[in-house]
Amino acid sequence: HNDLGGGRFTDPRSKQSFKYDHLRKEASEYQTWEPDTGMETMRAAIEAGVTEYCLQHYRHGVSSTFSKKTEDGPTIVACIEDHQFQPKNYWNGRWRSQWTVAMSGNQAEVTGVLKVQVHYYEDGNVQLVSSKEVKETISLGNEAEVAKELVRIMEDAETEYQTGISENYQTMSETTFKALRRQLPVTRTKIDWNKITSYSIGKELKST
Amino acid sequence: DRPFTTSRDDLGNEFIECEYNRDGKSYRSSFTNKYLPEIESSFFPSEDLRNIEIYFNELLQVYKKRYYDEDAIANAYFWNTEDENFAVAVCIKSTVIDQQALDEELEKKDHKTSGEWYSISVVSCNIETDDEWSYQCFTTAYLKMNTENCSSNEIKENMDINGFNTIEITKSKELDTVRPIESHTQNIGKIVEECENKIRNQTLETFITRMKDTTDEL
Repeated sequence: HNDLGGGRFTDPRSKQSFKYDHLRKEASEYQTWEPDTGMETMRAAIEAGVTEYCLQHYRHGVSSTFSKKTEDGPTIVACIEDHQFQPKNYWNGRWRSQWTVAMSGNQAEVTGVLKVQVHYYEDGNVQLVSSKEVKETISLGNEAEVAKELVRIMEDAETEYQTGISENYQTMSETTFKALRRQLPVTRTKIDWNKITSYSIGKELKST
Repeated sequence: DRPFTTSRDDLGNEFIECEYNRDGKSYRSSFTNKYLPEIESSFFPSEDLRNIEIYFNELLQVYKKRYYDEDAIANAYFWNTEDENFAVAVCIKSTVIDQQALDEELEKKDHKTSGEWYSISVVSCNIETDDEWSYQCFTTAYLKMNTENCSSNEIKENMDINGFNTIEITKSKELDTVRPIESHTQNIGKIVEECENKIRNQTLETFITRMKDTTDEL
């Protein structure tokens, strides 16, 4: 959303653009840059709301809010990212959410895309990949109201998503996993290999 | 990215195609002892070993029904190693589709779950003395589970867990030299059962409990 081309990106918060080296993960060649003035008050209001929300709900999350003109009209996009790398505990994980506010007349369509990825690699290798998409329509009042409404939607959806993931883990372990392999046979005891005989024991069995 | 596939043999039995019953591009059915597609192959268990293979696979179907279900597929493939020693790969595939959640609240959404379990236990059987053998079992369990929710006001949710874990157990057991086929079958069966039970619990612990804790940390 903030790609200027030629390896340069914008940061509306500090009103700068910069060159980014993906290999070295370094930013350089800062220049001043002005975001779209028509949407700036709205973008700034939303940015303030999202930044505050991010501080409250994420351990070390980072957020950015961009404005852009699309074929559907003026749009504001807020992105949040948080991750943890814990190689000593054999895991790493990342959370990403992207909230798009597409404004049209006195209404806006809010779309949220939330993504979680976790990788755990002790005694093996396990990956979780999860996503959720949310859509809601809000009416456009003044900037402060819109920002407040958006943050409310974000909080509800992201909290519900987190709870949903927990519930899904629960469901998977209680139903899906159990259906794949029982802990013990229905008899509640391990198999007596001596006792079980087959119904059509190998007719070709030759005596040794 | 699945550990093995399945196919049907000449008698209509569904059998697992994996590294342990493969020769070139053909796979040997444990039911018919024939390779499909047909080829000239010298990779077969010896006559004595084939007898153990036949017997073990019969009892494996009972094991399969008790721990898994009718639709699961289970095959054991034996091969000779050095002198009297041999090895066996016990492969099992189990799938679940559209398991409806029992939770009342989840029923309100259009909720679908599915899962696939693949286990491969490779048991190395080596003679120690005339009536004592050592059995070393390496079990790998692959698990894939997916849930999809789609509720009315355009909320779409998808969750996918997949991966594998491994376990190893080695035991020395007595061999009844009067009934070696039954005795080997029992010894191998017991160690595979033990490994599978342990890895089932380990898988539940890793995939669910640890993953959930990790996700909560975010």
